[in-house]
Parts: sequence; C-alpha cells; structure tokens
Amino acid sequence: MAADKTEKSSNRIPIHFVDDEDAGASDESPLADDNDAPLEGAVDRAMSKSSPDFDPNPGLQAGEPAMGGPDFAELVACRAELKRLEAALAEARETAARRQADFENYRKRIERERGENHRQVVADVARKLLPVMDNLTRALDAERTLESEESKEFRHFLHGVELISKQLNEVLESLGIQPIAAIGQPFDPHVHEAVVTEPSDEYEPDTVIEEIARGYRIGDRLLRPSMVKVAAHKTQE
Amino acid sequence: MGKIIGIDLGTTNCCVAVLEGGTVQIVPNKEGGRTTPSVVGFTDKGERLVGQIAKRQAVTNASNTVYAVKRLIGRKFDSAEGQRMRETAPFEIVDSQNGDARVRVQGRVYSPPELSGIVLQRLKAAAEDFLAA
Repeated sequence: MAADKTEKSSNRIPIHFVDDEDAGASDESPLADDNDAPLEGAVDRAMSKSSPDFDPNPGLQAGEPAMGGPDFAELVACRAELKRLEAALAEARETAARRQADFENYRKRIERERGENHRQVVADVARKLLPVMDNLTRALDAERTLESEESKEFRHFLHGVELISKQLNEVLESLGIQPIAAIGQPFDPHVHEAVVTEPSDEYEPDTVIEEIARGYRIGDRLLRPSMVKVAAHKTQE
Repeated sequence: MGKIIGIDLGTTNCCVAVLEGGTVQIVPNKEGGRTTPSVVGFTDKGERLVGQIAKRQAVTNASNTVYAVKRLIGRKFDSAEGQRMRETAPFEIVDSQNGDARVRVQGRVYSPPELSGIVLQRLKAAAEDFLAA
C-alpha cells in the first residue's frame, strides 16, 4: 500500500490526471496534498545543492512518507534538465533578439543606401561626362575667337554646335546637376580647388579670378570642385 | 556590442574601415571619398579644415596647411628627417624643449601627433556617422 501511495503521489506532481481527482477524493487526498509541499521543498533543496547524485531519502526527510527512490531521482534529474533547457532557451532568445536588431540596422542602412544609389549612379555617369563637356566648351571658346574670319556656312554650323552644347547643359540640369559659380566669388575650398594664385589689382585677395575647369554639384552634393585661379594676398607678393 | 574598426593612418592619405559580417567595409568620408588626405589647414578666419577641403586650399594658404606630418612623429628637430622637412615643407617646423620636431601654425605650436589626431578625429566621426545611421 505504501508503495502504491508513493507511486500515485509522485505521479501527481508533474502530471495531473483527470481521474486522480476521484482517487484522491476517496481516500488519499489529504496525504497526497500534504506530500506536495515537502516534496517541492526537497526538490528545491536538491536543486540548490545541485548535486547530481542527490539522495532521495536524506536523514532530514527520513520520517516523511512518499519519498520514492528511483522516481524521485528521475524527477530531480528532470527538473535539472528543465532548468538547463530554460537557461539555454533564454540564451537563444537573447541571441535571436540581438540578431534581429543587427538585421534591422542592416535593413535600414540598405534602404537608405538604395535611395542614395540612384543619385550615386547619376553622379558617376555625369562625372564621366564632364570631361566631354569641358572639351566641347573649350572647342567652342577657341572657335568663337576666330568666328569673324570664317565663312558664313561655318558660322551657321558653329551656331548649331552651340545649340547642342546648350542642350547637353539642359539635360544635365534636368538631372539636378548645377554648375558652381566661380569667377568673382570668394574662394571657398568646399567647392573650389585652388590650382594657382596670382596677384591681382582688380580683385580682392582670396577671390576667384579665373575658372580653369567648371565645377558642378548634384543636389546638395559636390560632383566636382571648380579648378580655379585665386587672387593672392598682397602681403605675399 | 563592440564593432571592429581599422584605421590606416598614412603619410599622405588615411582610410577607415569597419568589419561587417566578416567582410571589410570602407567608411566613406563626408565628401564621399574612400580615403581622406592627411592634410590639416588653418584659415585666417580661424577655421580648421581637414582632408580633401584642406588640400584644395593648400595653394592659397601654403604656410598654414600642414601635410605629411607623420614623417615628423617621433623625430628630433635635429634629425636628418626633421631638417629635410624643415627645408622643403612650406609650413614652419620648430624645435621644442625635449628636442622633438614641432610644427608652428599661426603662432601656435603643435606636436606632430596632435596634428595627426585632428585627422583621426575626422575619421572617427565618419565611422560613427556610418555606424549610427
């Protein structure tokens, strides 16, 4: 009978069967209920000692009934396993949360970069086009000085090329590309690149006096700084 | 969580990179460049320019634009390196109490590591912007 009780009470702790209700109500209810509390205590004590070879019947609890041998040991082992798994789960959850945060940051950056990528591509293409623009402008400037000597047909042709140059400028403008003001402006290293300095009577020191290559910005960003000649300080003359 | 950041402090250019998912990502600077010239410029208006922008104004402000200062780190003013820099550099290189080479700009004396530090600050800020966003 004693063994029977042990069997039942140890069964009751982890799993509550529906028919236990009836069995307990008839004759074992008080005993089984009494058993619950000390058994929990014993398990907790066992856990706190964390000794794997916990004696299921230590002297302290020798008098208490329903302390089964192998079943109790198994229960303790299960509890220990449960605690270990819970700790492992918590760790895994934390790792997952951290990975998720990392991923969120990555996603945000990718989204922002995608927005920037378009502008970047336009800027890259434009930057490669700029030397062509420079040369076209130079060619037109060189021809303009000779214009009066050329034939009428050639002047018509030149005018056509000028229109094409203007068209190219308009295309760049439609892409958000703006030329940077240079001549007469105070020298600003954020948009101008000083190539040479020269004393000037006409301009204040640190003023751009000649544009060697035109600079451009795309949106609020610099595409290429202007290459400029800057008026030197009088003291340096 | 800590990030792994690498900095190349070069004589003429600097670069900063972040290790991300096992691969190295170069951190672009404010101007969008992947490297930052190791140049510091001090303007008449009291501005301190660093990198590409300092380099662009070097021609107009040669005596207050400091570059290649890494060469002077740990060098004595009397050393061959110190003397060669003194002869060729447009900025002023001066002696100090302990004999180390220093740079004088607009009346203030800077140690070479101090000037390198100004460039490093810029790289640090770029890396912070890159990682924070």
